[in-house]
Amino acid sequence: MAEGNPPVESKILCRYFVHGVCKNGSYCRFSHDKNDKADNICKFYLRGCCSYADRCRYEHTKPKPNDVNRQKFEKNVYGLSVPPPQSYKTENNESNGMVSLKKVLKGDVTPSTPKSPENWVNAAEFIPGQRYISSTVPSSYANAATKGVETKDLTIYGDTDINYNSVLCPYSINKPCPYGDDCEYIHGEKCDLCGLAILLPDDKLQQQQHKQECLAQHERDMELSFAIANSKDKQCGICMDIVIEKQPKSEQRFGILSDCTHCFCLSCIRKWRASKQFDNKTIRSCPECRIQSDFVTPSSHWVEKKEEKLKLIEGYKDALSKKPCKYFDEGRSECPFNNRCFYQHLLPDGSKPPPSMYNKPRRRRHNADGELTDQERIFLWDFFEERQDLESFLLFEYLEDDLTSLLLSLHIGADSSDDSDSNYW
Amino acid sequence: MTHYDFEVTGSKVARCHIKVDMVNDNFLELIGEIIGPPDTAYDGGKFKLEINIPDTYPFNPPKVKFVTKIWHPNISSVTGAICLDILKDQWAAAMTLRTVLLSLQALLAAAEPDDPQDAVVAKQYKENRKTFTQTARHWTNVYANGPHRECELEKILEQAKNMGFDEHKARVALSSSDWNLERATESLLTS
Repeated sequence: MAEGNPPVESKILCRYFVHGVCKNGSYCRFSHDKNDKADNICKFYLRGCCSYADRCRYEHTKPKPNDVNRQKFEKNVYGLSVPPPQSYKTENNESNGMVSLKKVLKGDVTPSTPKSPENWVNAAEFIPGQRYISSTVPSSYANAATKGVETKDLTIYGDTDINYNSVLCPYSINKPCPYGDDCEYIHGEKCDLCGLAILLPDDKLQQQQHKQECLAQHERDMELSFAIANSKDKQCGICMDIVIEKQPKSEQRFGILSDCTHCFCLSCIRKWRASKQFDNKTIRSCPECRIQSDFVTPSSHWVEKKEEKLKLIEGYKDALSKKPCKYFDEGRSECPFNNRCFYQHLLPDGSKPPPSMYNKPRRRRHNADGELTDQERIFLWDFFEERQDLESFLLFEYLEDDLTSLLLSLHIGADSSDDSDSNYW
Repeated sequence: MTHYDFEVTGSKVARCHIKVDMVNDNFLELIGEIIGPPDTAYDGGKFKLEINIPDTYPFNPPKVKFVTKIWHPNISSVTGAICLDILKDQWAAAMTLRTVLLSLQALLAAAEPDDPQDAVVAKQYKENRKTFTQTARHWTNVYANGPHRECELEKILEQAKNMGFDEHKARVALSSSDWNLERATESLLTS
């Protein structure tokens, strides 16, 4: 924006120019005339909170009326971007091109073209987290574009014809407003839950909305504090440490078993389940009660209730299902869990793999007799099922029957062929 | 190392008539002691145990064996080796020395002759329970400071000693042959 514009004459001496290091040269927004006064007034002093006091290298004086620094004073003191009540304003505001919000709100001011660069210094301060309201309208390109159209931009304070008496005083929300009863802005009622004076006395809708938000926040906080209180003294059954006091912080996680309520830290229970020297059944069972669990769910808090556990497991599975499975590797490799894997199984084009992908032809091998036989594919998941299902148990019996008949037929065959080594198998 | 700290200093240890002491300044070699459970042949005996903690503890079981000689189907009368599933494949990481010692106490109270460590003792336990109980009580009295003396058996042992046999060898031979002096002497002479 600055390019091509004529150099601006500001009456505040450029502090970079004083030291001979101003990069903007003739386009600088500040004065390069050494006769002008530098802006040496401490802005913290103006707010009444300079911690350097007498030792401050900036001036601790209040600017005189008509001083160029006066605007800066106002900007700093009324830093919340709402201009001060009329009674605290000096007349020269108007002459400087500042328009009181009062008039804006009343609709007295018609939107004007963007301000000329000499007024930039007067722009309202932007404070992160708060709505930016320029001291004049339009305040944005969108606003400028809708110039002349009835603007709804100020609906944060209600309709445009609302008077500033219904604007909540930003100072009064956290602490008593320094202007007390003289303040022309509204001082809200205190919310019982959050303790902020934020409720507009006349606006039932706003009150209700705020209370709902407060209540929801309160519930979340309560849940969290309950969870923390629940985890407080929980001891890992393996390392005997209090889980949330373990060091480093990454160790402070619980490993929740799906089918029992014994408490372990994540690293211990994972180590136990990964140990090789015991059989599968032993390591997959809880070290305390020997109830088997298919998987461990990590959690930062101790979860014992069934619904909470289900919620946690649901969330865990949900999170995992968004991560690509490194064994499946977009179909390039095989995952031992097949289509029951918790991780995401997607092909490179983002589509789900067809069921046929999981039913690959059986591997063949030579058995002890040198015969070619089919080797059953073994999926880890089948073993999980096995102990849950009685049906699979029956299947075993069938297999056994098959095996006996097979052996029998082999025997008969061997006899008939009169093989001398018939006993050898 | 907090694991052992907790176990060793645990207040419950004393009440259950079990205790653990350190041999050296480390926790890897320990001496355990259990009192024989009441109403059994081991009543009142103090049985010392040698406990070795592996580096991988508690993910692997501690190595435990009896130092005090004991007559029990699941404990070797020669080496003191113990046949107990939780010290082998049924170990669980949440088990502690306390639970191990209590399990051993329970093992003394309820032997498992079908899964024996010492076949001779197990045979006697199954076929001649009365002799087994007497023998176990005698061993407890002699080796573990048990309060109950078995005068009947002591007399037979005295006879064997008078024949010039070593007391312990004679006791083993007599115990193994159901306190039949003839058979015991035979085995003592042939060995």
